[in-house]
Amino acid sequence: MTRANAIAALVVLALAASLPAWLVHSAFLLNVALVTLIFTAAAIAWNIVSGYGGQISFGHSVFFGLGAYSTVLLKIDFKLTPWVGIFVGGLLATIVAVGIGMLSLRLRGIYFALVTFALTLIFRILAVHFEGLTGGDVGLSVPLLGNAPAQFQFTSKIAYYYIALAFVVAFFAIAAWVYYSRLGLSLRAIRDDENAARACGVKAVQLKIVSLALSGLLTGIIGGVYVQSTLFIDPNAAFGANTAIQIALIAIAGGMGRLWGPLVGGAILVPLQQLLGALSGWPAGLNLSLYATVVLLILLLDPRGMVDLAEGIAVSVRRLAPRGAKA
Amino acid sequence: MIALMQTVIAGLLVGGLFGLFSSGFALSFGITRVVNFSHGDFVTLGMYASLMLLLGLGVHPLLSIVFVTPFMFLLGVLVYRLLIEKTLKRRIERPEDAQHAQMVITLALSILIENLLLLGFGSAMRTMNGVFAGNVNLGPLYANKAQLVAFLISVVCFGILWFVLARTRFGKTVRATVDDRDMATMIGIDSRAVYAVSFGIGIALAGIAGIVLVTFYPVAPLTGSALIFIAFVTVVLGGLGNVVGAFIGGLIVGIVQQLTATYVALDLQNVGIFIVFILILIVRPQGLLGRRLTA
Repeated sequence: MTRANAIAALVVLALAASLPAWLVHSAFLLNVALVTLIFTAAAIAWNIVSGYGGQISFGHSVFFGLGAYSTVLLKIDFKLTPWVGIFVGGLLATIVAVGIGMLSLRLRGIYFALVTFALTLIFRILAVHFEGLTGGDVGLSVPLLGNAPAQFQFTSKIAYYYIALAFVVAFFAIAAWVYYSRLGLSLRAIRDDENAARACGVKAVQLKIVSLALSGLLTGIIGGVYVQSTLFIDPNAAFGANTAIQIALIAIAGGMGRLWGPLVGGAILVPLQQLLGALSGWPAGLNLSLYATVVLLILLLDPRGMVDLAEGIAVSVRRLAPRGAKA
Repeated sequence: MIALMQTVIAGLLVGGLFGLFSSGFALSFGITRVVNFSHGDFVTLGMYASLMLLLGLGVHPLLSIVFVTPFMFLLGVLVYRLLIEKTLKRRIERPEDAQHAQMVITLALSILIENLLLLGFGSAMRTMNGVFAGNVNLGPLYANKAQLVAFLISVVCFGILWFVLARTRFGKTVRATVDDRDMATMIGIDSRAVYAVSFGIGIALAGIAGIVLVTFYPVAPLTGSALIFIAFVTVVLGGLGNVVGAFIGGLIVGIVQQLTATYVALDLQNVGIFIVFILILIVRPQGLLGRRLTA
């Protein structure tokens, strides 16, 4: 199983790394690919606490936004290079994640989902309100430095693409390690039956908080990478419910709790949304209506997501084939 | 003192509507265990329906309640049957498994409704003017007429809901399903129908709240996403799945919101609600009225 996963991962990596050579030729497509990588990375991080651990978060934009804002503010106010800033932002997101976890993860069930969803709204309001710090509704721009690799700024998007790809690889490796580790096993045990897990000596509340902290750390880091690639952040992009929903949707529609779920979901849904969004001349609202319809259809076909849907199709094809040969 | 009283009254009046659509949310959650992220968008649908009926056909909002509510109910039943019931057919060992898919389905539905409204009506904020204009004086205090009417309608609708749940045979089957759905099925209750109907009632209550809300509150396609936040806080405040608690929670949320808006900052009014939310989670996570559905 793990060997098959490793081979599959290498094939996917080779495919993604060679993408700019044979498919992604225009600046527009390159941007689509970049956004895809960033949100896939965030969805991989989401999957650790929500997929493996079963604690559904609809507020990962809080960590994403904290990472983004910290990176920019540290650069503007303290001249700190974003290469360090993204990790400081990640640490800040971790601290907030532990706080949220201590508040809401000792409760079971949907409290966590409700709290995290409400948090996105609150962070957005706060980011708009304290405009002295955050620039308010207008947002913040990263000071433009041209091609400055030491300051995480590049004139070509290709550099950002490969950096984002490196983060996806790192996150996937961490997620795979968690999945097969004792932590991952405990998390899945908690998800499947918290009482039984506790009876086996799993420290459920602590592990849920640890997984949220790890997830928050990774999401905060990728938030910092995001802001360096766009060089601009505003409260809506950082903390908006749309960002939170986007991260969760990718992983759930891909296959929640499955190692490959966020990758499959991200590779299909993000380009779909970006391409639909780019169709000019369409009335406002039509593209997202179509996007939502696709997500609905996927979940109606299989509520467990695309990975299970594909496996189900593969099984039925295998069953059909010999029967067809006999007839 | 007068100013404080005035603020509390305004909060109470708005809170009645919060309570009304939140009790719909609590009802459908209590029975079907569906966290309906699109609940706020059905309020928005009610708002647009009311507005369009007035502008297009000159139908008074109070009359719209009679026409629109049955449609909202049917829409709710349809949403349940077509979208949500599917998730229950697979992996039904634990309701939580289906619950995760349901959350995303209602989220996608929320995106769909918001964008269809954007498609149909544009992003501009619309207001309904002239219905219930002016204030009603109550001694040294006053109340906005539209808000007062909305409050009275909320109380009446909630009273009917409470009566149906507490005193009718249908209410009994609903409460039995909440207490123990397997046992309820065993004694011959069609739990599938109970689920669909209660989901429909939840949506219908959201619709009524929207029809009335639009008489004093502007509507835009994204209005629902702010309202769903209020519904979350309200149902946690009242105790998840507790219909009476949700209504009382709505009143409290309304008052807290107005107090924060008046004494802290207008744009932080929802932060005040959120602080109450966190305090409840720390001090009394089962909510003010515990977990049971009705009195």
